[in-house]
Amino acid sequence: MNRISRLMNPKITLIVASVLLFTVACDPYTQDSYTEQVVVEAYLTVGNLMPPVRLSTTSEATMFYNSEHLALRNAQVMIWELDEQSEQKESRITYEEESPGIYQPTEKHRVIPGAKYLLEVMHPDYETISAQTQVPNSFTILNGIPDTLIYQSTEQLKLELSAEAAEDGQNYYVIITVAKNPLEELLTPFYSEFLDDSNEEAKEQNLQELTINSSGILNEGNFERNQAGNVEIRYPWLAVAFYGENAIIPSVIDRNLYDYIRSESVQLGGSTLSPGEIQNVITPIHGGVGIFGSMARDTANTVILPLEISFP
Amino acid sequence: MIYLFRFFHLFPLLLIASLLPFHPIQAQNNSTALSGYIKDADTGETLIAANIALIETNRGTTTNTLGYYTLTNLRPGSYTLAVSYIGYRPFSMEIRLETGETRRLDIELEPEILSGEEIVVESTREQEALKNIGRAQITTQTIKELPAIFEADVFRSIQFLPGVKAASDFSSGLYIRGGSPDQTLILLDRTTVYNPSHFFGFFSTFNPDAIKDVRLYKGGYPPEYGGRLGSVLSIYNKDGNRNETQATATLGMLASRAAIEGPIPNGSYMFAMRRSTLEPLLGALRAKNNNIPSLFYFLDTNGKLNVDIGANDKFSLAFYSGKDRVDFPFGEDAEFKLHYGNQTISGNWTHIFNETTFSNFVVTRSRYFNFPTFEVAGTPFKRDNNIYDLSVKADVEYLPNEKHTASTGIWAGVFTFRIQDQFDGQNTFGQRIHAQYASWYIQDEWRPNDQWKLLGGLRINTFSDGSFLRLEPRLSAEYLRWNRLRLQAAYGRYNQFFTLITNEAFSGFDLWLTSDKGIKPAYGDQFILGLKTIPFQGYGLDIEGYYRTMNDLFELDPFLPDAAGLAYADLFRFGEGSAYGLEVLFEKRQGRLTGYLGYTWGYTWRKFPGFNTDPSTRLAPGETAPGRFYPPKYDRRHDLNLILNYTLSSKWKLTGAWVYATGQAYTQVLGRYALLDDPFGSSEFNNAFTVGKVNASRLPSYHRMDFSAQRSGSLFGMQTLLQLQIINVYNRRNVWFQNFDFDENPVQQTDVTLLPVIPAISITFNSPK
Repeated sequence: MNRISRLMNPKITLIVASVLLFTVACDPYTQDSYTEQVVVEAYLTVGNLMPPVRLSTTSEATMFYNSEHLALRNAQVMIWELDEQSEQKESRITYEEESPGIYQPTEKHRVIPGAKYLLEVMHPDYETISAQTQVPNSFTILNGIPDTLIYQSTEQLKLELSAEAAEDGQNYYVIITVAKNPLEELLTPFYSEFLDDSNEEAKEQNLQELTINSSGILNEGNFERNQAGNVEIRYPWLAVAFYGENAIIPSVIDRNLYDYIRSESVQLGGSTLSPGEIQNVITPIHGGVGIFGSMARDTANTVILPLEISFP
Repeated sequence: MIYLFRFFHLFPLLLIASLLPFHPIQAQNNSTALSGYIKDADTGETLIAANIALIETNRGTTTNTLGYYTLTNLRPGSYTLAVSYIGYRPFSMEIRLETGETRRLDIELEPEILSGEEIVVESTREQEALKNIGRAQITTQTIKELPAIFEADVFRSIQFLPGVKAASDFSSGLYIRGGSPDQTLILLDRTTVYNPSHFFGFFSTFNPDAIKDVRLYKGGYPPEYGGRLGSVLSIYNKDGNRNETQATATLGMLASRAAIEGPIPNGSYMFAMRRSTLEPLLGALRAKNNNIPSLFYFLDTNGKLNVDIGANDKFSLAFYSGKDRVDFPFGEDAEFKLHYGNQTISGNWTHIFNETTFSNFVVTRSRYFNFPTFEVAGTPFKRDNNIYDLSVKADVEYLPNEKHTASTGIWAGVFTFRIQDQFDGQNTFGQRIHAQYASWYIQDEWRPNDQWKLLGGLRINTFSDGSFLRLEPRLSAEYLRWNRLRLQAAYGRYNQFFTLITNEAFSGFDLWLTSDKGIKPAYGDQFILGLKTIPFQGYGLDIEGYYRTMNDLFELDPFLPDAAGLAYADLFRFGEGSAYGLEVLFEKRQGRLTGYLGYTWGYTWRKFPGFNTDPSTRLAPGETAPGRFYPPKYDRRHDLNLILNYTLSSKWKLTGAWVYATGQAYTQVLGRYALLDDPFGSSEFNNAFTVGKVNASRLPSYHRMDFSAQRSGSLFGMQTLLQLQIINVYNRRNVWFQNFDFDENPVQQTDVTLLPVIPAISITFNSPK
């Protein structure tokens, strides 16, 4: 017992406690502090003119967000078309500030399928911003789209896309449904039931949000390629938020948009990450945040009718 | 594949050959031996880890997991045999062993019956035997006495032990020594259980009425186990009462349970059921609210049948079946259904070759199924996920003399995993894994003298998918000083071929995936130092420090939006980690007041490429940024548990628990921005945060006090036990995580809190004896 007591000598206890305290006090993993960053936003669409580039800055998370006040002015913006190896700058598209934070190309240049583009932004208050995208190959909707469809009937809309197989891996799609008449009385039953009608403002906001209904990212592996090598997509009824005229727009997105959308969609939960384990969105922007992405897309229009009554 | 086939054929040879080195030190001809089972005198249940000692020789041992003991190489003569086990009256008898005699001596211990005048909770020597390095044990009595949220729960009771953490009040998942739940092998009667949870993780699947023994190896576990990087939790079903038929029923607020056990010729049986009883509550809620599940329950069934064929052969057949069902129609045009559960069955044959050789053979089958379906706006989603694990195990224990306990064994099986996802009537993702696995181990516990105990061994694992062969050396040493102080050290290498895809908040969709070609199994080393002592009579003090590594970790990529069409290896991210800490357990084992104070100081780290990256890192196009180490959310710097039991009288017993832990790690949001031209959405702002280092901030400290009072009595001739409980006595609103609402400007931040104060009541009826 005396020997045991010796082990519990106050000096030894003090030394052990001091070592523990020292170890505990020196936690090397400390949180960062807020740093203002440049936010870039530009979406290149195959065949369209070069898009505007929107520049702004981040604000502190808990501050009132005012997009106009955060616009980044007086930046020097340019987009380079690169060679296949992404080594040589082949041609330059210069931009001018049209309105606060919105920069427009000074010349008309259409986005070329399969091309690589480099964005550069220079501003005296920030380090040089750069981002690169490889534009997906173009595609078209090949099949004829019915003028009208009966909601939840056995005849589902099918899209046949001429999309080429991706060189590395597979294509990633986002399909959006844009309602031409986003009225409350035209909501399909599922969306109607969950419309936030607690007040007019909330209702209007909710209706606006449902105007464009997005599938999220869909791998090409979800779809089949037919004998002609075209991709066949069966369009789910879940995507229809409003009866009436709808535009259905499938897009093949580039790697930048794929990374941005997939990480942004789980930033506040929804995956295997624990609640509160928030991650930065994956951004292609060096020296800033945001997106410089590209896509190929086509549009099909149809009218969705409810099963019970004929739509006027 | 060919080599694996050969390896299977080699097993019997390995089993025999591995024991050959011990033959030269066979027992001397004139020595004697003593062996047998230690049982409960009332029920005939064998007792695991009971202590047996011959007082005059200072020789002793403990019963194995089948309740069997062996003492060999004894000199002929007269001895005092002493047997003890917690909760039972100490037993002693004089025995005389003649030259060359090998005596079979089965002993029955009388359960301790407390009377009003004699309220003593005995300290027993077998508790010392349970102080092997990395080892912890919790009795079924403790599980039933500890305050629990609505229902006595094995895992939630284990969460009170030092080194074991809960992710939240809503999760019964076991986070042991910095490991995630999939790093703990969970065995029920030697059969792997893949999803041990009910109500999406809120409860564990094990019915306390059906359980005989729960033993936890927090780390440094011996070669006889394998397959997980961290820990092993081994649970044994009751065998059943061999002397009389007994029934028990418990009515609780959330679930009720019933069990019956009794004798059969040369054996016993046990059958237990537990079912949630939420229907009246759901019915009342449905009358006033929409969107209440139309069906929501869990059901467990446990059974065991034991037959003795002579004195040296025992057969048993055990099964478990558990399932959760929920049907949740929400709105007119949407419904969610989930059906998931586990089924296990094991056939066990125990054979005693002679007084020095003991064997056990098991055939096990485990099934886990998970069938979620959604149908929203005429668009169905369906998943069929099944795991089938069929295995055989054989273990042989050999005690050539008093200095060695050698054992060897094999575990080989076929693991089949199937998943098929369908969206809108079309197959979108499917995977079938059909892998053979096999392992062989050999270990020897060597006691060169009364002070030293050394255990060395090797485990060899094979896994067919990817053709992996992995060696796992394990070593441990214990030095006994002054009869009261035990110094311990252990090292082990561990491999893991499986990974669990789950979410801390919801385990209803759990999936297990395996290593494969290009996906190396995770491996890690564990180093442990321990000090166990009895500072004063009736008290115990255990201190253990550990350091462990985790390499080649493979987890589902959390940013993966869609698995369709991806190569199997592309589902994963690959990383590494480490964990280290110190655990202190101070116990009071005697008197009216018993209990323990447990403290853990710990760190755990993970690192994955592209995760928790440094924003200033410059990358070439297509390059992934290196990750930085971060603590997962279940990392706790300090964790304190105080458990007190007070026996007020022969009828009343009080239990209190207080838990304190450093607040959970979380990632602080620093900045925000919005995309205003989003081509895929119509929100005015597509908002996002910029955040700091992952989990570098801490929520407020967690603390909670629970209280339980038990009163035993009788009603209508039956023994009753009334249990009153209050969880979170002072209604501490512990924070789980912070929620952000971008619809508000500035963004609104609210704390999502854990459980408030919850009272609960249950009553148990036991059939008269």
